[in-house]
Amino acid sequence: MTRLVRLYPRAWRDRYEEEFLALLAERPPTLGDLADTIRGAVDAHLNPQGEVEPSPWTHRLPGLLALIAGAMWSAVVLAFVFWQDGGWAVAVLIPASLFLMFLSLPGDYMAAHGRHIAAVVGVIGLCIVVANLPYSVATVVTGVGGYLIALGGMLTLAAIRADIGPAARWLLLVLAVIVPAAIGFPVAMGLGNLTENETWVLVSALPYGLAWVLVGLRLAIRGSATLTDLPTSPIEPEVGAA
Amino acid sequence: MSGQRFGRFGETAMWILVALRDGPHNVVPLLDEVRALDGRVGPGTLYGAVARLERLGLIEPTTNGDGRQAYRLSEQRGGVPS
Repeated sequence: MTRLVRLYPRAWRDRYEEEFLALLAERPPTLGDLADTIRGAVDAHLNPQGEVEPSPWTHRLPGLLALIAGAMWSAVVLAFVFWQDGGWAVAVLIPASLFLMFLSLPGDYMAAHGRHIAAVVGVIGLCIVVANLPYSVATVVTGVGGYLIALGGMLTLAAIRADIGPAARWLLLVLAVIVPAAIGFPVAMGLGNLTENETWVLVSALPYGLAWVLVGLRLAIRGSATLTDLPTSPIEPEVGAA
Repeated sequence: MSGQRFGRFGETAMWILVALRDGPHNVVPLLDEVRALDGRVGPGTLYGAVARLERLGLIEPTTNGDGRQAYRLSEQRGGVPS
C-alpha cells in the first residue's frame, strides 16, 4: 500500500508523503482506501496544488504519443490474429507505431540521455543491415535479437522517463519482451511460413503494445517536458572574471 | 467555498473545517472525526481536500505538543492559534 504513494507527483510527495505514510501506519488501509489513494494520486497529477504551476498541455504529448502507439500496435496485432487479414496493416501500422514510440522518447530526456537513444538508433540500424543479409540462422538470430534489444531499450527508456521504478521496469521488460520473445522466437525463425494455425503465436506481440499503453498513460498523467520547452540551463558564473 | 476549486473534495473540505473549529488536530484524529461526520472517507480524499484548503490559506500546518504533524484553521481565517 505504501508503494502507492509513489503514484503521487514529486511536489506532493515532498510536502505530504511523510505524514501520509504515518497516517497509513496508524489506520491500516482497506481495499476501498487503496482505490481512494489511486484516485487521489490521479487528481494530484491533474490538479496540482501548492506552489507548483500546472504543467502546460504540451507536456502531455509524449505520453499521448506513447499511448497511441501502444494502442495502435495492440489493435494491429489483435486484428491480424483474429481476422488473419490485413497484412498491409501489419506492414504499415507496426512500423508507424514503432516510429511513434520512438518519437515519444525525445524532449528533455533526449537532452539528458542522448547517448542511450543514440544506442537504440544504432541497434535498430544494425538490425536493418543484418536482417537484409543473405538468409542464415546467424543473421536471423542476430536480427531478431537485435530488434528485441531495440524494442526492450525503447520501452525501458520510456519507463524511466515515466518514473517507473527499477523493479517494475524489469517486470515490464520480462512480461512484454523477454517472455513473448521466448514464445514467439521459434516461430519467428520461419516467420514467412506461418500457417493459419500458427498465427496465434503472434498474440505474444500483444503485451508489448499493452506495456506502451500503460507507460504512455502514466507519462501522459505525469507530464514531461518536450523539445519545445526545454528547461534552460543556469548560466555558470565565469571563474576569475575581473 | 468554490465548487470548481474543490470538485469532489468539497464536502470533505467542509467537514475538515468543521472539525478544526475546535482547535488543531493531528492527522489521524482529523481523519477519524471527518469519517464520523462524512462517512467513509479515504486517505486520498482527505489529502486532496487538505491540499486545497492549505493552498487557499484556509488551514495551515502546525505541530501539537507531541511534535506530530497537525492542522489548524489559519489565523487569517479567524482560527485560534494554539
